[in-house]
Amino acid sequence: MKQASTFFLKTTLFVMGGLVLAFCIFAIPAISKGVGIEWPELAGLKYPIFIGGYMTAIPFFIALYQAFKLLSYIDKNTAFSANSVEALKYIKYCGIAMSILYLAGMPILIQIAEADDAPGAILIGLAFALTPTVVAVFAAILQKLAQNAIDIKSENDLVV
Amino acid sequence: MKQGSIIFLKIVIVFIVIVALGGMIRFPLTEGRAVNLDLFSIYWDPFIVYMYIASIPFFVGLYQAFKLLGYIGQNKVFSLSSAKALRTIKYCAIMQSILIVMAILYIRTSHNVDDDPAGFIAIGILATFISVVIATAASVFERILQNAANIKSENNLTA
Repeated sequence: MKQASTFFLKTTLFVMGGLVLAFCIFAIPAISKGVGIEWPELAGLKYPIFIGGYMTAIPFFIALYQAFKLLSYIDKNTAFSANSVEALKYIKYCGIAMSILYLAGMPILIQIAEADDAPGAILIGLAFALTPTVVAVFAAILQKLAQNAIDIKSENDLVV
Repeated sequence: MKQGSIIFLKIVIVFIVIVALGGMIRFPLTEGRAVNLDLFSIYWDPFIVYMYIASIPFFVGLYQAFKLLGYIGQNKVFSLSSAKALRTIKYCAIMQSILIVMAILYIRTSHNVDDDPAGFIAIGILATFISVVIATAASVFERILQNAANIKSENNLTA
């Protein structure tokens, strides 16, 4: 049961990673090319989309890798260890970095949304920008909790 | 710092509830069939009623998450009550995935021949998948919490 559930979550991480990898390989080049064709006046956005798209993928994959490591620690019954606190810290930083990068990319999205007359795209973009923040805050709380548990545990060891 | 982040996550949960409720109440009014119907007939559609009933586990799960954040704020996270909240979240997520699969099967078998339900089914499969992931994560957290609670009670016994 225990191995199965973490194995399932690990598989989920792989699926997520695969989807984003496919997005990076196929969708980002296509979008950056298509913007200039669809709206010639926005052709200058070609490179910001290209570079920004790949830059946000970096913290995403780091966070995914750290989550994978965290699941391995849980498997080994070392969820409350300095290692998992470290992994959670990286996830927190990656979440913050992703939110900042998305927010920095909002001007690009706003221009496209205006050209396409689709104000809903801005809302969806904001939702995308805020989701990593939620993940980061959650990771920060888990980090605190893991730290707490470590303190309790070491206290325990001292008493025994 | 910790209190601030808990309040932030609580606000996020309340925001999700408001958006979901708003969407659920507004959506039937925007349907094409709503044009010539009075208010009662708009909402008294079997599938819309099903949607409202099927959303119960979603809101119960959110409420439990809200409670869990409260326990974290009170430093009572390594306790039986928070393990129970996580267990309820797990059951809610399992139930939610079953309810969504049933909705998919209903749409799949009874949709209008002119309609293409592919979009609905794709979103439904995604939502089912997310529910299953949440259920699994909740069960992993539950076990970890249980472990920590045991360590803590051991601690209290020896001290």
